[in-house]
Amino acid sequence: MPVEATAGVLTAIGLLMLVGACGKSAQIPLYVWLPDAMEGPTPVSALIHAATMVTAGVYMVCRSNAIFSRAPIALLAVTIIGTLTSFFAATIGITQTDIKRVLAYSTVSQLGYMFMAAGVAAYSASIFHLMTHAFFKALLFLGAGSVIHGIGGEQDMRKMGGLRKYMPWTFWTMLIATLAISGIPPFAGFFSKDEILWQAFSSPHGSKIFWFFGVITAFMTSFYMFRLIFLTFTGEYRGAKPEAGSSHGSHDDQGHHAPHESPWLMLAPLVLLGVLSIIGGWVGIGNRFEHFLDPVIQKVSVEQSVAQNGEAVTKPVSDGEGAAEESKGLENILMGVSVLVAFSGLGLAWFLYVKRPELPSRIAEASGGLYTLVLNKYWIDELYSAAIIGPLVALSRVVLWQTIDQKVIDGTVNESAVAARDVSQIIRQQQSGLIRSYAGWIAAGAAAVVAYMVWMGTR
Amino acid sequence: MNISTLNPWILTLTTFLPALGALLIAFLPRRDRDIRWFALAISVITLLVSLHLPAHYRDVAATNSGSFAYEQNLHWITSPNIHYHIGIDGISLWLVVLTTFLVPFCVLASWKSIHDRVKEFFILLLILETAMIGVFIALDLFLFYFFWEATLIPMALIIGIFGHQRRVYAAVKFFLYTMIASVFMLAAIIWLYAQSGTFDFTELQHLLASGAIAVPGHTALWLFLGFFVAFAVKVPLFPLHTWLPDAHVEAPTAGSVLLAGVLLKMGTYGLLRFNIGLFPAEAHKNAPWIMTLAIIGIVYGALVALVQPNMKKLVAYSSVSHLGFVVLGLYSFTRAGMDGAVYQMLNHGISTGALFLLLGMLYDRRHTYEIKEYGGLATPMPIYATLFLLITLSSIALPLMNGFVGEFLILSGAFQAKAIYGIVAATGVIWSAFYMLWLYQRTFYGAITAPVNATLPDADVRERSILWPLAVLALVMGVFPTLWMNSIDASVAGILKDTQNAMSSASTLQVKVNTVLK
Repeated sequence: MPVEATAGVLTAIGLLMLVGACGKSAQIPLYVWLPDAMEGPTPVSALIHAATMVTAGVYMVCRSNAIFSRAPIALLAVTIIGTLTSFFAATIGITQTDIKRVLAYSTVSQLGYMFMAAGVAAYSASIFHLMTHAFFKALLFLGAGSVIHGIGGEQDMRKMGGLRKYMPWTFWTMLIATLAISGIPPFAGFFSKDEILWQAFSSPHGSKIFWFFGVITAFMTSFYMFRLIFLTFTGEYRGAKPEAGSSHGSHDDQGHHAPHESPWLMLAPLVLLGVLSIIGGWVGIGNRFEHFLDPVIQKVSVEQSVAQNGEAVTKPVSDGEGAAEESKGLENILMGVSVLVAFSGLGLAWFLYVKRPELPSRIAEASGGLYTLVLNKYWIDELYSAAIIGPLVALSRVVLWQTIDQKVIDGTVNESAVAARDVSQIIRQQQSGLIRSYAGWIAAGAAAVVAYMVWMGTR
Repeated sequence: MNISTLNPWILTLTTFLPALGALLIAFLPRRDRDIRWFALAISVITLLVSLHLPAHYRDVAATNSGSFAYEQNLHWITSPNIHYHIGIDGISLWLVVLTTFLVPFCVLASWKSIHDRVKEFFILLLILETAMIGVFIALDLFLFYFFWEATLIPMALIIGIFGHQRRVYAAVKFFLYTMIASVFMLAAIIWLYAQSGTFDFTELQHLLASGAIAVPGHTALWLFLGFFVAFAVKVPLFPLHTWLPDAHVEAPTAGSVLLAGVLLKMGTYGLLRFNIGLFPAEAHKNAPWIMTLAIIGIVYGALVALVQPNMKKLVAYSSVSHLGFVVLGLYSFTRAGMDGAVYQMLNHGISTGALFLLLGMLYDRRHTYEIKEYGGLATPMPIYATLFLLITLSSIALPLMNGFVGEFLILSGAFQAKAIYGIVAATGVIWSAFYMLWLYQRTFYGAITAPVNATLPDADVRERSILWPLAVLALVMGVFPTLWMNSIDASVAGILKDTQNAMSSASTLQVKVNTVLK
């Protein structure tokens, strides 16, 4: 059956699907649930909230590329939401002190990257990043779980530090993942992130602005991830010292023992994922991954999509041989920029958390309100609660239930019952049981009948 | 003996077995334990007998020329011309089975909570069962009205005698409200009889469709409204719903279960069978405002449910919302919407019936329905909490559960009828998750606030044997809807075809229905 859909309908479908995808993949403005979901067990976070389920929204957008490519407005919305999300989540990630929350906001930010890629119609880059992200983010979560397990359930990074010597396997695998997520070659994340940034810059749907935000975000990503590594694994252990003579073996998870490495059963997945975090990106070399996805991605040229929408052509799409040469050079320059940015983030984190560890708190103090704003996640939860949930509940309670339902509707019902009773009370007076009253009524009735007959007779 | 020789009598048997049981209980000595077991036996036997209906429905329907199976048409009263005419189609089939299925659970739920006047209670319960089944099988309007009003008496007595504090107020309100509305239906039935000399549904349908009964001017609308008011109160459709929360809160558990599970379905069943069946043109003409009321009910019922401090009232208002979905689907006049509506009637019977059973178990323990009295119950009552969650998921129509099938079909039907209906109604999906999950969170999660809750016993064997079948059925209905949907769909298609024919004789709206039917 041929599908006939106007541009307006396609745009509406695209935007509605985007709303669903935003909820599932934790994008602005529907991302607030994901950091809270970190209350779940860490392996669940690794599987559901990092690698698989949350990426379903990205998957849906890419899977529905036939719709999105024909709905430029929806596509632009995808890009803008993805770009903003990746940027804002990264800023929050910088300030968080709970190891799992840093990773949660990092996930939101990386999902934003995937949206940005999908939004510039680079669907294969988006799926590519989805895959590599699954490797290193699952590794990071499982590593965080190993850390938390190793120090007796503590999640606050301010109470960690120096864990490298206690849990070397966890340290090295997490370092690999951090290198990968920061986009440092030749680790997996480098290939996919670089592809996204290039597409954001060069795609007919892209723009330098998107690329610019992407690069800034890459810098922040590298910074907060190495901040996590340095706070957790370097320096001195800041957690509770093992109690002398504490009973052994009874409460392994909650007791205050010296930090210890996790058993091999927990480390094996880390190692496996570590290998994948190194080599997982290599499948993208020479655009192999992109060609692998060719069959499922419809080629819709910009002219076609614009022609369908009856809008003016906004971008030149002529891509001659010379232009291709030129773009190859540009691609290499941009690649250099993103690698440089990744190392700068690493360097800054090292400077602030290893070299001059007293600085971060002074910076936080100096920036005052801004720091508090970011630390409290821009008060988005509170805003939603005050602007949406509170008024909705109040409206339902005071207006709908107590006024309309109880007073107006049910009031009318009960009032009509009362009215019926009152009318009956009046009529009941007839049934007084008094003979004189009945006699009076009979007389009055008889008089009325006689009067009527007389009147009829005289006509 | 060939089982098919039973077919003409099987409906009568199903209907009157409970009444016969009630009669026998009346002669039993007042030994509560014996009476409970006897009532349970009767209700289970009735269930087993009624299962003959779906088991052989396909064969019986295939050999039947009309749209009804298991038909039986006997003279009852010669003047006026009243027949004992009964029969079921693919829609009433499942409503009968829903009724016989729920009653044994109601008996079990009343096992301990009813300890005074046990004999009277079970007599009323079984009489109520007969009356409810009768409503769904009657094909003679007089017989229908008889059963329809017959449900009122036992239900009002169950609320008024065995209910909670404000039981008499609730019982009187329930009785008067629904009976006053039914009078309008009676007037319409009498008008039809005066014009045609018959109460027979199929005959009347034929006479009205062929134009053999002269229905002047606005009379058709008044007849339609006469039936409509009676059914809309029962459903209940916004704004005629305020008897429901009172009746539910005051009723004992079994009363609430049958009220929500079956009595409300009598309203939606009537809207389908009689309003659409007898007056298809009027029904179609009036669909826009009916659907609008249904959608208001969906959103309004859900939002009011959200802020209820009393959990039984919360579930009662959720019924207003759920039944709004059913009416919306019916009056979308699309195959998907009507299929979904009928399926949702069954789903609501299962899920809301189960919710009332669950709340009753909590009430047996703590004697309160106030949400703030609970909290953290998942710790002392893990099995109960699990079953509550399963039923909650069914109620909020999560995929894999029965509610999803119904709601999805209804929404797609409503969308086909008019996009805006589907769009607004779809928000109901969010609201229902909001109020049910919030209820669940406040009741089962967090720390135990009242110390008495810490030692509450978990669901016992009797309670688990009530809840597991319902939970499993909710899942099966969500995964294999075709088991039910095949017969429902065939009957819905028949009704839609009749509607279409009526339209083509009215001609102007024909094009519209054709597009809707596609």
